[in-house]
Amino acid sequence: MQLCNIQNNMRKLRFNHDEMTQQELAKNIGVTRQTIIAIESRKYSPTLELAFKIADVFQVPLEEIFQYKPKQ
Amino acid sequence: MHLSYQEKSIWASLIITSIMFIYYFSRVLGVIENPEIPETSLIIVFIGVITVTIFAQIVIQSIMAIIYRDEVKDGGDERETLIRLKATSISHYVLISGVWIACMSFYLNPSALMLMNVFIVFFVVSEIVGFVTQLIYYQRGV
Repeated sequence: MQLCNIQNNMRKLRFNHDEMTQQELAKNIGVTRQTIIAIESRKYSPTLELAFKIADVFQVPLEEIFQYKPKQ
Repeated sequence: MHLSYQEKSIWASLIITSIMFIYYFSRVLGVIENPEIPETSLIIVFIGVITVTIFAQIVIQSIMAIIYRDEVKDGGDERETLIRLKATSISHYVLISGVWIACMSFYLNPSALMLMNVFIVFFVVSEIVGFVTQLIYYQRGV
């Protein structure tokens, strides 16, 4: 499986936000649940616009959710 | 292995296209092996295959949309658009290669039937490559 260079804390943040489900997050930002699964499992890097929408839902700065970790 | 609605829809299209064109090319082989069958009969077979393919796609995709209506409601998003664009780009190269090969085959064997079928082969192959590429991107990540 090909992992992208962007790590994220979305699973932890969802848990800290009243155990928000993937479906709820998907609905909030206007994507499919499969896209949330793909982002969380590092199979897809979201666009900047989508990343900002996710940060907006969790009310945290972007870098608190996404970190750039290049492959070794 | 969990498949999303989009993946199931692509699998359905892949299976329908494969079955219909395996049937079509078996008829083409029949014409090549038996010269008594008129070549023009293939045009009727081709129109029939296209008609049945479109009809089967409409029926099966409609049934799937009803069964998985909750997922259909979500609509498409940027990841699906990216996967579709990448797959289209790859299938485009297959189709362009096919056009070149068809042109060369016409130069070597100037037959309208041959030209038409080389075009159809590469059209079908490019469609299948597009479907398979999408399925790979959905599973492996994009």
